[in-house]
Amino acid sequence: MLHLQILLNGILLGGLYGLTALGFSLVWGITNIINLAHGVFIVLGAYITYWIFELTGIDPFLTIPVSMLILFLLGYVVQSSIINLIIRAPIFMTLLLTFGIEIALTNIILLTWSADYRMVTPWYSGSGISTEGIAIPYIRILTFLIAISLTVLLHLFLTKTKTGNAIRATGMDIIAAKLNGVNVSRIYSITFGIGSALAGSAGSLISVTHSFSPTIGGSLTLKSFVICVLGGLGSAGGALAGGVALGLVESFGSVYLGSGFKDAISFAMLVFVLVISPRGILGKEFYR
Amino acid sequence: MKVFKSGNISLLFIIILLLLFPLGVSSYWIRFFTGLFMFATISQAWNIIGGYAGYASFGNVVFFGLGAYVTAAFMNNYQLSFPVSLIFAGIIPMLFAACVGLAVLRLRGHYFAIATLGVAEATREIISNIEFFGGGLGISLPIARNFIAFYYIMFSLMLISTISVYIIFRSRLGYALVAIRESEDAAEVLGINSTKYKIIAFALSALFTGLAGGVYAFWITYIDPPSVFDVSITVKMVIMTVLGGAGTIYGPIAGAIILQGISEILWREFLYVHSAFLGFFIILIVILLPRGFMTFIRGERIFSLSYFLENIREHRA
Repeated sequence: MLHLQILLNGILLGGLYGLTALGFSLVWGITNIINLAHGVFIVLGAYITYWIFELTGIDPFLTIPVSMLILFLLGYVVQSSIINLIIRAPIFMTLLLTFGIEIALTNIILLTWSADYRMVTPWYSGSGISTEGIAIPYIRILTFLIAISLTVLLHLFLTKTKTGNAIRATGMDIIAAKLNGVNVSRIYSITFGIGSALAGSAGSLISVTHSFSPTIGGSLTLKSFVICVLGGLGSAGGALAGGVALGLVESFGSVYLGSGFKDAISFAMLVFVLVISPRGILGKEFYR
Repeated sequence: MKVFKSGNISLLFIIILLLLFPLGVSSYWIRFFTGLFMFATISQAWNIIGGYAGYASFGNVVFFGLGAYVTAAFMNNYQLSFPVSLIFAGIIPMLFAACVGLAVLRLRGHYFAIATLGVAEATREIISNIEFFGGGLGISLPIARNFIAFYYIMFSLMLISTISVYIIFRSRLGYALVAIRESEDAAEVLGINSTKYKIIAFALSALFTGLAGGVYAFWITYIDPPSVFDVSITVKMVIMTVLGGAGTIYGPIAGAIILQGISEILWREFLYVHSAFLGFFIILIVILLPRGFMTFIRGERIFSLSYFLENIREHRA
């Protein structure tokens, strides 16, 4: 029974992890930018849900579209006005730039809303299904389902719509995309906007399942790295697979090795996977 | 005699000035300069792997942390003297870099950056769980009251690392590293054993970073995992090197002076917002001055709006 419980915990957490990394993976796969500010975008999403819930009492799950919209706009502006300016510079310049954005945003959040840990607790947050020694909170199930739906939606968007095809084309071959009339810098901004919107949705969900503070952004970004490497950058499904893999490793690892080594395990796994197969387990280069 | 070129004389003058400096100033300035020399040293060390070899390590803080922990643990647990512990603080990170380098230096670009970041984070977690290293509580070292000594030690570290980079730049190793940075495949075709040179560069980088970490531990007298394995130390190394000019000899020192100076002023004047300012500063530097300040110091370009716009035009989408 214990194993089944750990397995379920891992899978449910993994779905959320998948969504956490989804936007990061999209941006990396298409624009080749490692967005070190991804974690702080997630934190912003969490704060949006928190404040809407605190001030108006609207159900946290209904606030997801709001945080996605706000984060889309923020991401679009950041990409079109800042990151697009250095898109052809050496790669560690983009790393530095996004880290600069991370420092600036994290500290602005710290100054406005303090370093307190917060959490959104709607009335149903304690209840759940429990049979034969297994307990699953409703919130975890709902979070998992939303994460899966958003992953499916992203996949459909990328494969079925004109903009989605333009995004994938830009990721595959930037010159060929340009020759076919794709406005690359606009596509980059849209891609980064979508990546940020997905970060916002992940933040809204995290605010309900975990307590958060302005400074958790860095570790969320690192987790997104690990997930992308595990799942590869190939597809929306890859991020989900990587998320579930990390969720399982973390939940089993913290039971059998102690929670103190939880992050060490995932980072050790990261280095190991990179060295064995530099493109990730399901590795493909682009979103196809 | 070539040694008496005007550049060398002014350099000698600056060195003598800095050697006499502690005699006439308050401990505030001694502390400030000790920190500055430390950052100049570790940025110079990053310059070897990141600037010359073009391998953007985002985990170099791991060598700093290891150096600090080796010094602290050896002094506390084995009652070794500071100089002896410091030797280990250089050697152990160097060996660690050689071992880790065998694996991670096969990766390129983002993947190398991430893997090194992962190594640093994993090492921090492991150190926090080891009793020998004081676990999460950290280690307190015996208190050394002679702060002027640390000034001179850090100053010599900065000099030694800079002279080493100067020598490397003029040697086979330096040429090989630049060749690897420009095109690793082409370098391999020309018969350069890129694995060997990359590992040497990574190990040298670890040596100086570890030494600086060791001195830092004894200087500050208390270390714990979050403070000496802080990612922002790596970021400072990178930003200082870029700010001065990556792949140049004096770049990291120029960058350290500018960034430490600016953060000290921001920290003193605007305690609460100085970190946010630092973020904006990084954004501005990366966009406007991707080649660093050395281009101005050398007189190649003039600090002007048209130069900024040229940089933007060159890198924008």
